[in-house]
Amino acid sequence: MAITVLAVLLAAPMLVVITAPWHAAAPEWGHVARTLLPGHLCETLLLLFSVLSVALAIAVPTAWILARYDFPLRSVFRWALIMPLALPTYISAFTYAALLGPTGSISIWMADQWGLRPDVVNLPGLSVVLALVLFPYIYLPARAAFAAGLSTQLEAARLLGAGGVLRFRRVALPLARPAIAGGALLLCMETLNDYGAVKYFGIRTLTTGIFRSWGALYDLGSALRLGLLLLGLVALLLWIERRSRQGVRQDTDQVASQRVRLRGGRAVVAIGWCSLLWLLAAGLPLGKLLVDVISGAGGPLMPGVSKAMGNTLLVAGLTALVTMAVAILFTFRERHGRRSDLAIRLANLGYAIPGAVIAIGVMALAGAIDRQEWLGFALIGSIGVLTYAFVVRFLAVGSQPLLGNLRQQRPSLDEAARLLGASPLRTFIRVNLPLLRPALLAAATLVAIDVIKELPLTLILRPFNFHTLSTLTYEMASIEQLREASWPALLIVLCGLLPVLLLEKVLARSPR
Amino acid sequence: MSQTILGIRDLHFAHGDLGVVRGVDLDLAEGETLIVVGPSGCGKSTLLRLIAGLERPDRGSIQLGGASLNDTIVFTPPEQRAVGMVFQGLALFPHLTVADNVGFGLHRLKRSERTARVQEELRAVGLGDLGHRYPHQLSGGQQQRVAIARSLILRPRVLLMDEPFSDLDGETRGKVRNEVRRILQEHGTAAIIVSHDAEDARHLGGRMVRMEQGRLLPENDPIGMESARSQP
Amino acid sequence: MRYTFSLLCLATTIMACGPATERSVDAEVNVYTHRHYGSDKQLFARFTELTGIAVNVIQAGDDELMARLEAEGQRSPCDVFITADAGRLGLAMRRGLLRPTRSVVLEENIPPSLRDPEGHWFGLTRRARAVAYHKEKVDPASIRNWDDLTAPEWEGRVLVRSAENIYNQSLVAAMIAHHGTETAEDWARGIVRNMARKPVGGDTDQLLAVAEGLGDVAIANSYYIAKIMASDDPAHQKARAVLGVTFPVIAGYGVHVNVSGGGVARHAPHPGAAARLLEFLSGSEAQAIFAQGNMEYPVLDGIPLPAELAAFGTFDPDDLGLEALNEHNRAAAKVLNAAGWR
Repeated sequence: MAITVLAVLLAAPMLVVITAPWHAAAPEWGHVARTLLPGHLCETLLLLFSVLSVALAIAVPTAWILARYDFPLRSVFRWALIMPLALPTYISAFTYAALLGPTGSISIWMADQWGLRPDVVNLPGLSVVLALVLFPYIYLPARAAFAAGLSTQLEAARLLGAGGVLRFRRVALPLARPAIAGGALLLCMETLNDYGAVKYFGIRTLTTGIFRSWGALYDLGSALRLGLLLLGLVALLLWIERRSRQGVRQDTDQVASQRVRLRGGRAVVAIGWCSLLWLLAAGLPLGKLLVDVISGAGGPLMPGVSKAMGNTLLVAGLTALVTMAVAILFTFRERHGRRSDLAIRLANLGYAIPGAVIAIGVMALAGAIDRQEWLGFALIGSIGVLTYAFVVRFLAVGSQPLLGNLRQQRPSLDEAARLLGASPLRTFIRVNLPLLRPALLAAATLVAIDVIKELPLTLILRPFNFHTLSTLTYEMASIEQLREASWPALLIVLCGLLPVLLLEKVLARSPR
Repeated sequence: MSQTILGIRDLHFAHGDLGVVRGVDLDLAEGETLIVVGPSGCGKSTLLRLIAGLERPDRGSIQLGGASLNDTIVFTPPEQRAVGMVFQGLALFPHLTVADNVGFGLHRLKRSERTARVQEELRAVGLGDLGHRYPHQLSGGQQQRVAIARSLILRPRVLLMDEPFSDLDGETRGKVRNEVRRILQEHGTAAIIVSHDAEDARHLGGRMVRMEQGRLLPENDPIGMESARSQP
Repeated sequence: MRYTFSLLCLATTIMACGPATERSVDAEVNVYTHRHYGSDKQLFARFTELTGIAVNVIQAGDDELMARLEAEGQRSPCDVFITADAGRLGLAMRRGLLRPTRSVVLEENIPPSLRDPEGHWFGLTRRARAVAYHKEKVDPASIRNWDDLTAPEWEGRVLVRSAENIYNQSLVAAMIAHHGTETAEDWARGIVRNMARKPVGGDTDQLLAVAEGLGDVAIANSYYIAKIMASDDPAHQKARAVLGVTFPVIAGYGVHVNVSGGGVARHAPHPGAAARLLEFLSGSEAQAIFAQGNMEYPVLDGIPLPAELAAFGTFDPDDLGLEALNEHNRAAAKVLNAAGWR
């Protein structure tokens, strides 16, 4: 009961969006549907498809190599390849445009040297840039799946004479499909709600369509209808993800098997591939920021940066804490209560919705309470409501890993505990939860990283004079002073790296 | 003949991918060991889950020690049934030590009392000095004994065992079978043991019934015995 | 249950850490602003120095800020709402988010055409929509009028940013006000036809693209061009050398000028301090900082322009009342959408 109330509370901002067609007039909907919708929907699907394809092509083989083979520097790449997670997509997109855009410094140099001008500021370019930043969402679960759970099947296939490629294609890939699908879902949601990078690259997506309707046409109703369409798309993706999980039973024998040692040319290829990937995904953007900062082009360290860093870490920590508490409750409900709770499912959709749209929902709710003047303080502009909005936004990031992990726990463990006299709650606390601990830490870390990178929610819901690293970056970037943005941008990445390192430590300790 | 401890009348169940149970009647006397054999999918595991309260029957009643666990009105949740179960695959808690596994059901006791009871039970199953280990550090036979001790420490009226010997190799299998027989006799606990191997029944020295397609066959049916023996 | 309860306790504790919005008499003034320039920070600090009134700021997009003002209603702590577009100021007024303010200082400093007659909002700086051209490839005399850029000779040569940008919308809104929707749509279609590439990036990106030869003319705001001219960024030096600036007129009228400005919020808890802040921003010291620091044209007469801005020369601004920008903004956006301007 209490859990349902909590779920409804967290789903409420989504309900504002979903019920928009019934409460918000959309005077320009006809115009939007005629002029904007076709192009924006098409490019959304195109972008989604190409980002996903590129990310899969990068992440899955990389995960396989790192999970099954041993080669020099492997332990370095293990964590270095998670680094892109710490990069906000807009920072990566801006730096890529500054280097390889039509007026980027590398492009100009190449044009002068060879008369050849590369240009990544287009849909294929953005697909690669987004895939490079977001591929760890697939790489991490795929690596875990490849490293464990499949060892006996893989050994059986090996004894049957299947070579490495065949083993990968016929045995490992189908068995790791649920893990990969879960990661792919998060990646799709990130792509769908991206605003900064997509807008800068001039790509028309549903998210930019939302802002175009809201801002220029003064038509929030049409904007929310587009938001509803976005939700529909996510619901479709969720359905596909569920389908892909069916028919594949996760084996729970988690015996880590021996990795095959690579030597000579093969080791060189593995190292070369990982280095190239790291260079493109993290090295290049980070290098550009570093060069700007060191060369002094970024100007002196802005005053207030340390305060902003403190604020960033405060909200990230707070949100991670609350999100995980909620995620644990929902996980308990999933395991020991009614299975499919509509409110819980709704609450998990927040991740796909652009932050500014969630902000509308949150402000509508908090404002309704504020205007009653029941409280001695205003909810809008409080750290509490900011945190609430973050939890709404990132709940899926916190709860998906837990649910995935829980599905791998044998039901007989719970049943054994019940027969030994333990109530469902005690069973959950004494049996399920301790086994979830690695997943719990990993999920909390992902939430914290996401909060550090988040911008639109923070921008509009923050208290007076409240800055985070991402608001500072935005202030510089939005007035087209990208070099000045390099300081806070670099600090975002550094703050994000801390949890990324922690994440790798956690994952290294758990058997998978 | 001693008193009946477990009485099952006209039990029906058909759901999901579990085996079907179609009208089972069964009586178990105090201290008696009953071995249910049958091919996989015949509903024998489902029968155990129904007795344990892990599934709700569609129809029929289950009485334990004269009290109704399950009829048209009552459904006692598993944690209040005083029924012990050893799962196929054992379901030992991997994050808890052997002692904590065995003491799991005694959480209402004081710590000192609990430690003493656990030690006593571990000694009874011959694992007196392994309490600090984790399940994965034990052999298959030792794990089996931990699972049994974990159930028996609560002094259940009936102990249910689902394919307890299937994961063990030949030699260990024989040893553990004798061990189980000894432990059950010492505790005087009634038990229902499910197996696909009629061999188990002979060694455990209890009564044997055969289950096929959700029904219990008449006892000592020679045809049933034959086909059971021919199972791999 | 126990866990839910402790969670609620935690939540309540966090909520209570919100900002103390004390309604004490004008020790502070709360600003919601769409502007995020260094010059503004400098100005707010100077205001505090002069008056002792602390300036609290939330900076975000103007549509989001208006949504927040509406959600907060009478509980809103906001005193001054500042944005970078006259259309948005008019919209805020029509939505009842601003209150009229009478001030002799504001009325004296700001010409009547750059403020609301009832005092709901006041223009504080001006920016003109201009064309930057490649000096070696383009004769500025061929771009007198915005319609010139739709001629076939410009095919594949025009650089401009997305239609989502307010500066493009307000230019088209002014065209609609003068010549009607159809003429404006023809113009937008002509520009789309002549674009050198799909619109990407911001104004600065268009200017750099001209220097790189990706197009010959770029439509950009005056202050972005002036900032490039004043920049020490090596990437911008190249652009400085080749770019010239011209101010095309809307046929039969003047150069399109928009304002950045602000007004006092409807439920402002500190209306006195709010008016003082606006007065300060319209005064000569602040106007000079707007001009020097952010390359915007001041609204107050007699303020010296920075050399880069002065070098652009003078122009005759369009005398269209700024409320027309709000009136026609929606139509302008629809024209741009219909023309396929991405």
